[in-house]
Amino acid sequence: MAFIKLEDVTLDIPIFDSIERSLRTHAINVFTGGKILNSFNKKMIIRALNEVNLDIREGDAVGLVGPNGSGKSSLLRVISGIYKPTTGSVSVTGELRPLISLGVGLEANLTGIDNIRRLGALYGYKREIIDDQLDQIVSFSGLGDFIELPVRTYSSGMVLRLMFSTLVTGNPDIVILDEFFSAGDEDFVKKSEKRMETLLDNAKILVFASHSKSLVKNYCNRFIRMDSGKAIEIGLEEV
Amino acid sequence: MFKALNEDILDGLKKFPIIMFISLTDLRSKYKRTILGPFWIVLGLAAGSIGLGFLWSVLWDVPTVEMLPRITVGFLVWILISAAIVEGSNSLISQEMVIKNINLPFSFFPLLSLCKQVINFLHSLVIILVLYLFLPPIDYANIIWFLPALFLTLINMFLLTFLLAVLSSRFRDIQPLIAAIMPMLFFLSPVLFRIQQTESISWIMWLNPLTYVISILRDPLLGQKPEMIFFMVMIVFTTVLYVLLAILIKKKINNIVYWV
Repeated sequence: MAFIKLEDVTLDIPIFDSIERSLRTHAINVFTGGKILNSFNKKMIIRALNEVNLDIREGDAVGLVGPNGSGKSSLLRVISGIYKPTTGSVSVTGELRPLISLGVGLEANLTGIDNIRRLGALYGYKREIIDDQLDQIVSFSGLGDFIELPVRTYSSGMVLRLMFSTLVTGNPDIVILDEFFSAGDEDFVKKSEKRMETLLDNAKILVFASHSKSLVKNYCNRFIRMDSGKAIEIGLEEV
Repeated sequence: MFKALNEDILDGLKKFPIIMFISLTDLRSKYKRTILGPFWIVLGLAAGSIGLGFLWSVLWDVPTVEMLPRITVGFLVWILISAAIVEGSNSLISQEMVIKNINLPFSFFPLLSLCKQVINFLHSLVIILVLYLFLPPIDYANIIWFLPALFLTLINMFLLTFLLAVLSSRFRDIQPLIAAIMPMLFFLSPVLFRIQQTESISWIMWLNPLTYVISILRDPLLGQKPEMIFFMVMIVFTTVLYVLLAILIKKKINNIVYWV
């Protein structure tokens, strides 16, 4: 039984600039009794999420909308366990696959095939799963003969195809997708739409952040608007 | 106090097959379209270490037979240690994107970095085997000491680089500082000479932790029994690192993702 539950989650992200991060300022601090440091060293903290409560259950496909910097990616990272909440609690049950930034974990000089194995390893798949499903991943990606070429020759749409195809292998319980998903071309978006439907038919969870209203409306059955770190549940017509 | 660190390390170790796989694909990617592949490193090291051995024996007027194995093995061990430290202390910063996108234990990254260096080192053992053909070690039986020495060194290097990697993700001057002092540490460790030769300044050598690491790895490969006191020093050093790292991880584990 897959679910995601966030209770009063607040996330503060400290921002370090180069001055604050260097040892020199700490040394200056020692020699000047802290006068300079204090003026330079105001640690900036951004409240990325503000008392977010969420209850996501199997069958939910949640669309996250909201302007840049409203906390969509931060929320995805908190759900994925990458950011730990400053206060509040997060509980997630089920196998989770986050796809938050394009190209992460790929090695440009290796072929598409090698990168499927590499990504699979990073996402923690068993070796056999990749071996079993390799043909399926390749055919779903629609990359054809390009799969034998190094990834550095790929366009961003092709990188997306490769990553998404690998990500959804073996029916994960929870799929986390960020904005860049719109980089795929029409054909692939249609194909993945079918795949998403299959994913949801298996009663799994999708959390999808996007600026594209039509994509969100297509894929999702619940909608959340992020607004300066607050999460507000909205209806389809409000998207 | 040790729970957070132990859990992180255990999670990292569970991913060892993945670490191995990624190390090998990285290596393949690095040497793609070359004919010799990783043996380019071996060739470079062979040229460097054997050349140094010959030159040094001439300069010091010591029989080559005596000097060559010492310098060659010492140099190879030095390369392992220094590369492990320099690369390892950068292992979190350089993987920023992966850390921010895939939920992996932090120990994964220093382990990965160390694993790559060990694979390189294992390649370079070929040089030592070739060396044995011409200049056999003093006593083959003592080579067995290399295994516990390597094991202890790897634990030590893992903890050291993990600690440095976390600290240098927070303080960005640490990594370049380490890279800058490495050449100096080379001259302060007994790679090119024996500690006894340094006479009045030998205390500096004894203060350099790398002296012990290098000695316990090198002596067995030369067929000498390593000094047990060096093992003891290493064990103490490793324990201290473990405690420091445990405190740091316990307090700051949730912040590291923002530091990198």
